[in-house]
Amino acid sequence: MTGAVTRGLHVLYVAWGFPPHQGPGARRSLATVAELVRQGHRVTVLTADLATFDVVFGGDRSLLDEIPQDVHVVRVAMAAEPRDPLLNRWPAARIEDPKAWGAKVAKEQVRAFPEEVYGTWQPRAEAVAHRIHELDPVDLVIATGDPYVDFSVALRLHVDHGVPFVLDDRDSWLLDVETGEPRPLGTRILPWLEFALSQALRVWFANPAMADWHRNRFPLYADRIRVVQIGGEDVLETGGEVASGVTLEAALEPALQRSLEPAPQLSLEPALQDVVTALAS
Amino acid sequence: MTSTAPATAPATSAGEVWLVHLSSAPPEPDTVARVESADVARSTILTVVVGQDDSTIQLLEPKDLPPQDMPAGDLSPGELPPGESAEVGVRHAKATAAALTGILASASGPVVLAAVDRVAHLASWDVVQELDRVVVVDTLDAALRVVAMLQAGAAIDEVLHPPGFSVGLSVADAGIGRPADAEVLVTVDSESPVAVEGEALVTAHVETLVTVDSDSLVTVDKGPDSLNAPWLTFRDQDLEIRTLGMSRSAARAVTARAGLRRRVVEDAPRRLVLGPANYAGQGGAWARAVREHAPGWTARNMHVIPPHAILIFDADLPLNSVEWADPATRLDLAVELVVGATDIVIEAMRPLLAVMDGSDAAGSWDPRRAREDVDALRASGRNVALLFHGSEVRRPRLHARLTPWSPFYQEQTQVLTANLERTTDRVHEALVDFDGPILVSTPDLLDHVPGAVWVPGVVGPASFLPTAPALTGRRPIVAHAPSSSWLKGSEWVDPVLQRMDKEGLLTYRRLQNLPPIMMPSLLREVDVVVDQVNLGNPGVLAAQAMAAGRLVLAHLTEPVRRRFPEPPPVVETTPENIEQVLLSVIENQEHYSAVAARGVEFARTFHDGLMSARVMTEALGP
Repeated sequence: MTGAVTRGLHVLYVAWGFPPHQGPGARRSLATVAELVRQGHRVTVLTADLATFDVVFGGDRSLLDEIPQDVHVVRVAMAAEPRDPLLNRWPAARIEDPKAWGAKVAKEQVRAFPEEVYGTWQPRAEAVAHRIHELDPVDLVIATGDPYVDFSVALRLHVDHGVPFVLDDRDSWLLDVETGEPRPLGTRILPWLEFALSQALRVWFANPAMADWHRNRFPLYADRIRVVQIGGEDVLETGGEVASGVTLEAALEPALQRSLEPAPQLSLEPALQDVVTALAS
Repeated sequence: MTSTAPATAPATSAGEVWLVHLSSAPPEPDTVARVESADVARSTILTVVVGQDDSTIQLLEPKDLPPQDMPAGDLSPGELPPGESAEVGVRHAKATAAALTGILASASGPVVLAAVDRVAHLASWDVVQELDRVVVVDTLDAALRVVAMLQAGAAIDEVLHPPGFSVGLSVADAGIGRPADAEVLVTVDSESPVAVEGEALVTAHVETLVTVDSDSLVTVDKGPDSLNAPWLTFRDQDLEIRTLGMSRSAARAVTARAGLRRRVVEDAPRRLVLGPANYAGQGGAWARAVREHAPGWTARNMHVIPPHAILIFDADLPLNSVEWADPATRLDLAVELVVGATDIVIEAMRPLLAVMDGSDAAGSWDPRRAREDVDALRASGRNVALLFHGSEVRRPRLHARLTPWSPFYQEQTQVLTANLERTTDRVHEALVDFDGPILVSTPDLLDHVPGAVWVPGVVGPASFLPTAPALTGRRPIVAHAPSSSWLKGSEWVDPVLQRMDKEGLLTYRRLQNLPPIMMPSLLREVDVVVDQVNLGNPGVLAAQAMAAGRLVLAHLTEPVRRRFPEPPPVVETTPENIEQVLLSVIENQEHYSAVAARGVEFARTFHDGLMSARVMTEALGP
């Protein structure tokens, strides 16, 4: 992309957990979409289907009223298992031996993408993203995690069509923020994360400690990491006590730790301006 | 074992929601409060109680539970005073189900049954095999969500069987692209009984069909015809569905899909559907190539993904094999893609719809089912071509005669070879007498499928991104990324490359199960790719490596080399000469760098999609 394009981008915002989802992150997603609209961009949201929230995970449909008008919301059905609460739909094998069935499904679900429960959304969301791009070319993807299956959609449009992307990590794909330890699937997440960092236009973190850790761990890509916060978010303080009694910093790789100048923290508006400037350069 | 139920359970009226909570332990006070305060016409809390004889089952409401005289702190949940009851176990589930069925049968409206433990699950499972109005939910939270949906006007089938995954509708319903304005009206005799779980239907009706301004019609026919008839039949742009032989739940899901169905019409005179194999992502790549390069055509691929798949490739409509086996999903697939198709390419002799198998155990790898699909689709007036990728049709016995390096019939591959012989035999049997076009994805397959046409594999734009030339004087990086080690000769490649790496002659990158999305990026970082040394034909990886300007080492038989209109820039490499070839590459980097660079143009000529789109559409005819 060339020239000083500042308005009118078609932005695909990927958030499995968009309203009526009412879990952590829904507020940040709404704020991001609203800010994109306010800055004059066209926004398409890619999220899970209503049935997923109405029945399986729970949701609050009143939140739908907060989605800005003119935003296209594309809802992609999610395979509910193993979270499906409706026994009428359970396979006989699940009734006969729930533990064996659960173990088998859990193993299968993370074979292709290292994320339990949500990983099966990957091929569906990617297929729909392709169709969106085919019908209305996308200029920029912003994907928010968790779940991190959202990031795979950004990678897909980037690799197949060259669409630049921003990853918005509200937590940490690789680390458990409660313990500072890698997640159980960490060894399989690592190549995905490295690939994503190598290709991303920007990577946003809500948590300054996490941003610092990633700058240290992946110095090649430190220049694209930003801390982006919106009002009212609870953020784990750098070095704060965590549930296990282990400080976050102590749990990180000591060899990769170094003192950093305080990282600049951006609100949404300058963060998006930063992205647009990067796109135009 | 005997069972009894509360005598005071009145029936609800039609439309009134009855919330029932079932557990094998007395509920907590908070649970009681939540159930009793639910916004429903009636609520009931039942606890399974077993008599001391271990055979008398009672479902008791809280007020009827035996008094608990012991101090509350001494009594754990589920524990009743000694002498009053025995411990509830899964052996009591059947009797519990009988009692529960007796209670719930009186309901005229929907019942939401919160079954919150193992005994409750087992009992409720039996209940829903008998009663259609019962929705069983495994937590009270989720049950209250279902209650809210029903109170908001949703029907039970809307809760149990919401619309399936549809790429077209997902996008169209968001206001992007063409609207889903093709409509279908279906009339179903909703009073017809359906088969009980695992049993064939014995009594049924044939329903009346009404079509109004429709492009495609879905009808549900519960007629008591032979099981040898298709469960899905094409009637021009319409579909007729028979639930005969389906499980109760599958039949109900299919029935729920009868009625008005919507789909997005693709705006092209020729509309191609490929599926379901998508090996190495080629189904998706060919579909994209046809869309981009064949005027007057559009194309979509569908992919049935095996549950153990480690690598996921791009597809226009991805389904896992468990989802696909569900007849309701296959019906969705037919509505979304197949009904509107003028042309079909069946990959790897695997069924697209399995029109002759309406069970939810339909096999997505059965060549006979694929042939039945082929015949049904041709009978419906659609052009059908077959396409083969490789191992499913490459006969090991013949292959062993064509190259001395064949991996088949080696001492260590006897079992694998025998399995492939059986697989390929079944595929070849299924294509007997097929007189339509047959395509193959690699030139060597022309030996195995006489009369076939080679349609080159396609690599995406990411593989063609400009990058630094290969072999510029540094220590070369050599990669080997077999999709199947025994079919690529890894047993020969690995030891040589590991030793040469150790000797400092090269850097060896052995890649296994790398996500396909990362492959183009990774190939840009290496100098040489060892594709395979024993099969005799170039695969998709070789095409990707050439597109990226990397040097490809592979074994291509002379007949295969001659089948290319121009010599492929692939350095002949066999198990016998891997080391010599690599030493030559290291010593003559300038020469081999030029060979690698020629690969880019070669890949553009054969593998950028233009030729594939032309070959495929020409094969399907004017």
